[in-house]
Amino acid sequence: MRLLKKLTGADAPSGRESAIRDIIISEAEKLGYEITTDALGSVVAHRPGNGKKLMLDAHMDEIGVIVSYIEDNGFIRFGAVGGLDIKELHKRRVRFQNGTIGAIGAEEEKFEKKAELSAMYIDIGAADKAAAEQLVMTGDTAVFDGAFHQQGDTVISKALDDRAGCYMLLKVMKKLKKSENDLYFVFSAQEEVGLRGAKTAAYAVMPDYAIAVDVTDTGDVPSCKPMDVKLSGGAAIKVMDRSVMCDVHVVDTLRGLAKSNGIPHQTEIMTEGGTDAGAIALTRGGVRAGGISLPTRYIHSPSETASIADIEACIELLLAACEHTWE
Amino acid sequence: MAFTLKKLSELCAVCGCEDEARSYILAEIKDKCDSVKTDVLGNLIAYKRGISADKKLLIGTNIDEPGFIVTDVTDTGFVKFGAVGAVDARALVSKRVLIGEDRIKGVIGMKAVHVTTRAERETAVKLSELYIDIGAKNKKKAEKRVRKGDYITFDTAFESMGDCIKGKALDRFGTVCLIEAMNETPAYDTYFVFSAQRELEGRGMQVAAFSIRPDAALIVDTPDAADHFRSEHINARLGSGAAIEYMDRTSIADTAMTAAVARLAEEKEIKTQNMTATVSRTIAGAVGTAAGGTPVACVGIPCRYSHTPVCMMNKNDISAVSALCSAFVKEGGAL
Repeated sequence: MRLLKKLTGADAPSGRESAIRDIIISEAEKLGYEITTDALGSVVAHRPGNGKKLMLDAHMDEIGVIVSYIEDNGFIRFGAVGGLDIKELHKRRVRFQNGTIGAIGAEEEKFEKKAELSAMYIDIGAADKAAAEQLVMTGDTAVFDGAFHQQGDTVISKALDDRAGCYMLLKVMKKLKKSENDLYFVFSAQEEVGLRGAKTAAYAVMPDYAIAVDVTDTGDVPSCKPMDVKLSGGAAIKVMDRSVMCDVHVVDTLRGLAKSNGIPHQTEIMTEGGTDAGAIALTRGGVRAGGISLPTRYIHSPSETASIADIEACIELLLAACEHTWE
Repeated sequence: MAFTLKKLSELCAVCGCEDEARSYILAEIKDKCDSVKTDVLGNLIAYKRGISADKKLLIGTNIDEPGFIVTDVTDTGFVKFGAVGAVDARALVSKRVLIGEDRIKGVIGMKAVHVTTRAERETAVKLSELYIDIGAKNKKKAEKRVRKGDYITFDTAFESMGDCIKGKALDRFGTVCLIEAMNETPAYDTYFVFSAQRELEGRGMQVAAFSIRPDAALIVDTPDAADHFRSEHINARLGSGAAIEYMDRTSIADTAMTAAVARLAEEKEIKTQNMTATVSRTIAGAVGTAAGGTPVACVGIPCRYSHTPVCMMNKNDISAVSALCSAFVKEGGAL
């Protein structure tokens, strides 16, 4: 899990992915892949083959915040980069790209009435605006602090969404032996702000089939919304989320591969949130797209929690999908 | 017809019906470029050959404005209408409007204060409760002057007030900067895109960027200057120079491009301010994600009260953005 720790440790909110991009490029180059980056900063690793074009996608950005204004008293106002649960931000720690740490505070009375960003600020301990501007300026971004920790079969970290997906893709790229398919491994930018990187990458690759690899919610914690996905239940094969109805042929093929290879799997229908599969499916004249997801608790928090056995199952299934000859 | 800010503001060019703005701008730019065309969505795209053809640049803004469209005429002769783009219903009561090509004058009406209930006075009015009074006696009379589908704009006189200007549709004043920048000889082949339908998710720019496929793009925007509110809402200030935009709801500015634009401003001693527009939208996203993607930067002329009958801008900010656009074109976007 050293690689996963390294990947989750990179601070790379949407649009500011250089830290994670550098790691991914260096890992992919070690494996001998031909690498390109596009205008939005997505990384594409190509393994040529004579068969159908299969695109595997995992996004490399993470959620964060962006400075919108610095007050005269040195407190920093901010906006969201990606989908934040505003009620939960209070008292969290953020880390700016230059390493500056800040605590999120709230104007108590206003915040209790309504949890909204305009009632919140970041405190970096600056005495006034001039002191704050020594460290941070308008337009700077920060991520939520949440160190990687492994405990038996469990991993807890920030940014498992979707560095776990990046990890799985890199592992597949390493383990892959024989494949007839023309394979594209896409590490996309700007997923959290609207599936932007996958949109342009899919346009450039123009695959016949695509599989988005991301995290998904679970329905296995006390009193949560019912959902037929649980931790340690295996790779989640996506059927639907808010952005996509997965292609039936892709879903059936993935299920068949999981069964025939004895890979633990479950069926995912995520009622909240979308994935890159949605953007890829609508590229050009349309792409047959599906998804393989890692069951993850507390998504979009510094304590995203997943199972290593599930990660292994996803890797096995992705390998099987790469080795399968798509028609 | 000499180009004036007054005329540009008072044109009727609601999103989707930009003919007036297009022909006005076309007359102004046709001698300044190598070729110019209008595409199917109504984007006006001017091309100017560069010193080098190694790269293709796009510099773009919008020509449309938010407004309304006639949805129905009541039996009593009042005109019901829907919004085209984002308009705040609260800002509409008692405002004067112009309807259709004939510019029929109307007033957005509402009950007089002494006949309203306390509840009516204390809640914000909804668009569906409003109507336009064109002084017609009944439906038949009204329909002689107004038809369903007619576009409606605010009837606001443009005025200069010291360093500031006020008027409607200042959200298309990025065009001033583009027209000015067309006087430069571009370093690279440059497409000046005067795009349609910004108000509807930047549809015009999506299509234009897809067909041009530029190597880099600069978008000129008119971001909200909420500098009269409490500080947590402030993003750009009137009179503080060209606003370099780091993020909006549609895009996150490319790091290298934005740094290059900021550097260019510094070299040319153009006053700038940094801003993050966390709740508003620009057309930068439309360029950024078209086809295989484009690195894009966005600069803005801060605008108070946008999407209302009267917007306000500072002339010095227009000059600053104008100078920055000219430098961008001349120096090839500092690529």
